[in-house]
Amino acid sequence: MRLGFIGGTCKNLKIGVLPKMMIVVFFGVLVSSSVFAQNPTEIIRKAEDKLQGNSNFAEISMTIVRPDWSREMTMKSWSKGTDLSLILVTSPARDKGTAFLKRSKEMWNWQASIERVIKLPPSMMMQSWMGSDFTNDDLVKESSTINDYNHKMLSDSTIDGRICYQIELIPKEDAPVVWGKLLLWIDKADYIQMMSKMYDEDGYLVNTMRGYDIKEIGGRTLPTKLEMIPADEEGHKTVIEYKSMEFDIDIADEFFSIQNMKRVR
Amino acid sequence: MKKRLLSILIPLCLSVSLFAQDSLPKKEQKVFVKGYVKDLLTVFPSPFNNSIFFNNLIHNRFNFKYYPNNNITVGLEIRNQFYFGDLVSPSFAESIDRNNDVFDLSASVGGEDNWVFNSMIDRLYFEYVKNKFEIKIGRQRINWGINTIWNPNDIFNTYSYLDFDYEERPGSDAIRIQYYKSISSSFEFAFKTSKEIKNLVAALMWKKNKWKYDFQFSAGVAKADAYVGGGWAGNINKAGFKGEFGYFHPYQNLADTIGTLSMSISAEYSFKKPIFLIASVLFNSSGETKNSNVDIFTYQLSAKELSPYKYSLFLTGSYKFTELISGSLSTIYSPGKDLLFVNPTFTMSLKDNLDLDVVMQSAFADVAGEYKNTAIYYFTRIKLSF
Repeated sequence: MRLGFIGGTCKNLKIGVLPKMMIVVFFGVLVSSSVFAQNPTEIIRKAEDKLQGNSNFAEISMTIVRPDWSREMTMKSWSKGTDLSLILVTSPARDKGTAFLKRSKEMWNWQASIERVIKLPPSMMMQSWMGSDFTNDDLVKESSTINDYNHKMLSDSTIDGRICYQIELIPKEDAPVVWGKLLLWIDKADYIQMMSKMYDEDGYLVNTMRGYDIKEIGGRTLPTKLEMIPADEEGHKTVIEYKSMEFDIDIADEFFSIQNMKRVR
Repeated sequence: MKKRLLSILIPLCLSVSLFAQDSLPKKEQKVFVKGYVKDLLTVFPSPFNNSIFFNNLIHNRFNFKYYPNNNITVGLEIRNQFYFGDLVSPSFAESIDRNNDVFDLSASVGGEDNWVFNSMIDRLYFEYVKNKFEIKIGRQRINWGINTIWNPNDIFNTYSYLDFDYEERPGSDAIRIQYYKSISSSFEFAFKTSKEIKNLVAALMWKKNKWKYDFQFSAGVAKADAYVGGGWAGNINKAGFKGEFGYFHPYQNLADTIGTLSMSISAEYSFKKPIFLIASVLFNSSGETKNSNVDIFTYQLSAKELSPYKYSLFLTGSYKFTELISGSLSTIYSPGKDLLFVNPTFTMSLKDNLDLDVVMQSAFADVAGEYKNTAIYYFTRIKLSF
C-alpha cells in the first residue's frame, strides 16, 4: 500500500493506546491507478497507479508533530489490488505486533497482547485513526478520486522546480465523499503527486499534503516523505516516511487472511 | 527449589533480551523480546473503619518468541510481580502463587513483612505451522471469545473483575490444533489438561465468515459440563453487532440436573466526535436475582458464570479529551440485586512508551435496606513498554 495525497487529513492526531481505527489513514489515503494522455482523469489515474502498483509492500514511519511533543510509530504494510490489505505495527513497543486486515469491506484487528481477533464495526472506522478525519466511507468505499469526482484541468504551476498539472476535483452529486473540493498538483515528467489541498464544503482549506525527498524507491521515482499539515493548527503536522517499498510483488490472496494476520512479522 | 528457579529465570531473561536486541542482525532476527514494567498503586478505604489501605505492585513482563524457521515458533512469557503494602499476607502470597493448570511454573519468596515476590511462566509453548494446519502445544492462552464484553465461549479461561492489570490473562496447559480450510472457514480442536478429570476442557470450534459476519460454533466438555456454544460478529448499518451464547449441562446425572444458559449481546458505535459507546446485556440462567451476597470484586468469572447475577447490563462510553488523554466510564448494573459497578478510567500518553492510567472501581448495593457504596478502589498505574 502506498499512502497517497488524496483525501488525507490529520487534524487531532491521537496517540496513546493504538486505536482500532489505525487503519483509517492507511486504507483511507490509499490510492490506485493507471495511465494515459493529458485528460485530467487519466493523469490522476496514472499518478495513483504509480503509488499503488498491482500489489506492494512498504515499511513506513509516521511522526505526529505538535508544538509541545511528538510521537512516532513504524509499520509494515502489504496490499493487493484495492480489496486486500494487511498492516503490522512494529513500534512503539506498546503496540508492536498489532495487526489490521482488510478484505473488501470487512476489517479485523489482531490484538497480540490479548491474543484476540476483533471484527471492527464500520462506525469505528468512521472515527479517525489517530484523530484524522477519515471516515469508514473513505475506508471501505475508498471514495475514489477517479469515480467520485469531476476533474477539471487548471493552469500549470511549479512546485519545488517541477512543472505540475494542476487539477481541480469537485465531488459528483451524491458521491460519498467528505470534501467539497480537492486540488492536486501532479508532476508532468514523472506523474508524482507533489501536493494536494483539501477544502470543506464551504470552500475553506482544511489540509495540505506535500511530498518531499523524491527518489527512486522500489524501482519507481516517488516522494519518500509526505507531510500532512492542517490549515488551522499552528505547529501541527504529520510526517510519513517510506523506509522501503516494493511494487508488483508476488503475493497470494491467502496472505491476507486471519491466519496470517496473527503470524506475520 | 523455587528460589533457585527464580535465580535462574531472571538472569536468563536479561541475557536473552540483550542477546536478542543487540547480537542478531535485523534481517535474520529469530528471537524477539518485548515486555513492560508497570507500577500499580492501589488505595482503598477499609469497609469496616476509617483506615485506608495502600498496596503497591511492580509488575514486569517478558515475552520471548523464537522462530528457528518459518514453520516453528517457540514462545516463553514470564510475569514477575513484587507486591508490598497492606494487602500482603501469607494467604495473599499463596493466592498469587496459584497456577491455572497442571505444571507448577511459578515461584514466590516473601509473604511475611508485607511484601512478596512472585515469578510465573504463563506462556510456554511450541507451535508448528504447515500451510493451513497449525498445532500448538504447551501453556498458552486460548481465547475463543468473539463478543466485546462478555464471552460465554471463552471456556478455557477464568479471571476476576478486579484484575484489570493482567490483560494477558492466565495460560492453559493445552494442545490446540487449527485447520484453516479456506480464507473464510476454519476448524479447531483444543484440549486443556488438568490433574482432575472434572477440570478438563476439550472442545471443537468451527468458524465461518458469511454475509459479512463472522460466525463460530463450538461444542465439547467444559470442566463438569457438556457444552455447546456459538457467537457472531457483524454489524447493523454502522453499529457493531456481536453476540455469544453457551449452554452448560452437568454431564453426570444429565437427566436429573438443569443446565446453565449464558448469553450476551452487544452493540458498539463510534461517533465522529471521539466518543465510543458499547452497550451489552448478559443473561445467566443460573444467576441470582435477589439476596445474593457475592462480592463482585473477588468473584472468579468463568464462561459459564460471567456474572453472579441473572441479568447484567453494561454500558461504557469513552472520550478523547486531548490527543494524549482519554477517559472512559463503564458501568455494570444488575437489576434484581440492584448492584451497580462503576469504573471510570483516565489514560495519558506521557511518552512514546510511557503511559499513565488512573482508575477507580466502585460498587453500590442495597445493604440491609440501605443503598450504599460497598467498595471503592483507586488505582494509579505507570507503564513503561519495551
